[in-house]
Amino acid sequence: MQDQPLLATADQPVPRNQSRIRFTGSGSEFFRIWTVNLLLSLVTLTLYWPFARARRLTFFHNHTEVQGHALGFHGNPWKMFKGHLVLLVVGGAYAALSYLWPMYQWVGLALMALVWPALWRAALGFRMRNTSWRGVRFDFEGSLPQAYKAFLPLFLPGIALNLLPLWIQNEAESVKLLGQWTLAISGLFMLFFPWLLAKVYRFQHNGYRFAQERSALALETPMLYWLFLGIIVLFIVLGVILIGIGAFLVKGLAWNPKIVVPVLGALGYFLSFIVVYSLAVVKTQNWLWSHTASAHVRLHSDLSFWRFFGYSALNWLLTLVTLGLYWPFATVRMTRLRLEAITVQIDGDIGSWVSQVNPSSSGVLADASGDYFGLDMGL
Amino acid sequence: MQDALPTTWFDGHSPQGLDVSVTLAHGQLLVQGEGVERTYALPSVRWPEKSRHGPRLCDLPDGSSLQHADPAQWDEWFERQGFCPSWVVATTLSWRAVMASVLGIAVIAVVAWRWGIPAASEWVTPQIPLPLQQRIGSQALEQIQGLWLKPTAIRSDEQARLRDRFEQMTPAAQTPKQGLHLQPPVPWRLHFYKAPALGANAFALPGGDMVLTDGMVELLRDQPDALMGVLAHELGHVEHHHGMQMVVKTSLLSALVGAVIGDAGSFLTAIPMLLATQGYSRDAEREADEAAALFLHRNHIHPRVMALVFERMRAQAKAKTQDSGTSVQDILPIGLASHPSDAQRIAFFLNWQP
Repeated sequence: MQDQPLLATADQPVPRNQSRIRFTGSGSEFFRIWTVNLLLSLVTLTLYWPFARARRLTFFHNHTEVQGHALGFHGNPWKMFKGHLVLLVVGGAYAALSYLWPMYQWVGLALMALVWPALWRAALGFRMRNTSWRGVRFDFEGSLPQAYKAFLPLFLPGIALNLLPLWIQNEAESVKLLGQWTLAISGLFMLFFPWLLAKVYRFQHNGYRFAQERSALALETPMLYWLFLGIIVLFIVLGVILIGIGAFLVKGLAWNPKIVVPVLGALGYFLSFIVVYSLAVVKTQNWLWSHTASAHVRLHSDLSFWRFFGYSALNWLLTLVTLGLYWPFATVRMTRLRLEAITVQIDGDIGSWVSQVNPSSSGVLADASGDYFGLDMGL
Repeated sequence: MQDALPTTWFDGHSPQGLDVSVTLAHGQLLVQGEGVERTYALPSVRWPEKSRHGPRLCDLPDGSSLQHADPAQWDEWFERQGFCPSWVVATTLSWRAVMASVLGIAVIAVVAWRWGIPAASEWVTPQIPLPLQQRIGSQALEQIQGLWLKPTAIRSDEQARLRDRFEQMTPAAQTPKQGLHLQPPVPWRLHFYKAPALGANAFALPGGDMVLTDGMVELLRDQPDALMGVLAHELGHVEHHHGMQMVVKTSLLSALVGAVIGDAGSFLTAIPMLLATQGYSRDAEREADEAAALFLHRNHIHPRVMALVFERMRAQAKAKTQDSGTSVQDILPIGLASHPSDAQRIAFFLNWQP
């Protein structure tokens, strides 16, 4: 915890500090935290969840070392608890609505579209304001109108798809029309999806603040199109390889197709899931974080696809074999891999930075909603 | 004043740390350094959890914080002040307690699956108003209709004959004195559909809709008693609210699985969900078989007629398998079967005693 490398005197050139993020958490330690958290959550019928979450986040934050200093997590579990209760009610109501009156699901979806961007923004803000480095809180400054601009287009196709059946009669001609419309909307959505995703990423990564530093994302939308194209090509290549192997085993070696087909099918499902997941995660992380920078901070991520893919496959297998007990070890291993791929470069004397962020925190709903909607920090 | 810990203090506004020494005196925490002298009431200090690795970060109420790189040194100092870890942290630190927790989780999961969820659904399901159940049932029927069901080819007089006969048989079976059927009896509706994809089949939906496929009617045209048994089996599902119970059980189960391995993602949760719900539907089939046997017995038909149903269905399935070449059933015989094995069910009906 010494600051020597950063103390520059006036006549020296601007010091430049560059180092990899280090993750010091161990799997066995997280296993113990996870187990006790899980038991308490079950015994209390999930009421312990927010407290478990606070402990989990504290563990991961405190073991993330950026230039020799760990991140801090300051979320107040009692505040998170109130948010948890509210979301249990809201989530339950939405589930009941979509189950009992599926015709009105679009109402729920429309309401969700109205609330989601605000909640999402609040969640990210809560998380950032409760994360600190060197005692200084981060912040998120994306504005509310920007949040709506980024998220609303993502909801439109869903609402349209749910509204469609309402004005279509139950006869063969109309059903066919419905099918065509559904296909058209889905196709259009797929075409625009990378562009919409880029908008969300831009909103998120343009809003981070630490002291006077405000982050900016220089990500070009075509990059995401290339990623999507890559995933589709990967799917096709995997399929062709598996069909080739299957044909060779059945036709060439006369193996029993009753065994070959399901085994290869399961293998294909497992492989394509992990391959696609790995490619998406690795590329997104490398692009996002290598293109996020502020005036004095530069980041670079060089996560390796093959290592990530290998570890993912191993982790899934071990988690399955151990009936889930390996999961905490897998999580720690993946977190280390992803975090330690990132290099942080800071120009200048950080000691002179000053933060205006008030360390008091925001609303009750904010944090819980982040967990509920699967808030992803891109890390 | 004696036991001071040299550490680093951050004021919360500047990322520049300051060397300070920390002491405990008169229920207060004293932070002293160059140009800094602050006191904090002890209850307002958020002490870090003890763990094996990692730095200690301690939140102070004014937004400033202490950060200590050497965990062992911090913990020693902390314990010298007379603090001890909370019981949650103590449990986390002990491998023995953690292993006991793993065991506890397994026990809770099994108990909840075997007894807790069935008991809860048994209690919840009758509370759900019948119109709501019927709405859920007819929605399900509508969805299936589009996918698998086509208008029936069974002549309407045969439909009426079957429906009338079953209607005449039900009052005899629903005598309340033995208390084996749930009271009051649920209104049922019988539908006929042609369903090439489902073969000879019959199923019941929440709220009392029962569906008989043309394949089943044709399979048992020469055995009307057995066909009544099939309908009685479905009526058993209806009377036990199995459809609705399954909905409730699946919801509760997904909540449980979500709580246990929720953060592991849907890819992993799907497998335990599938296995666990199959267990429930096996139980439901057994109950419906019992209801069918009782129904036939009270109408002076020996339940052994049901054995024929299973034998014919099996023969039909075998013929089909030879046509298409592959069958999942051959590869995954018992583990994923939603019904008890045919042999068991045949034996049940053959050996049935009132």
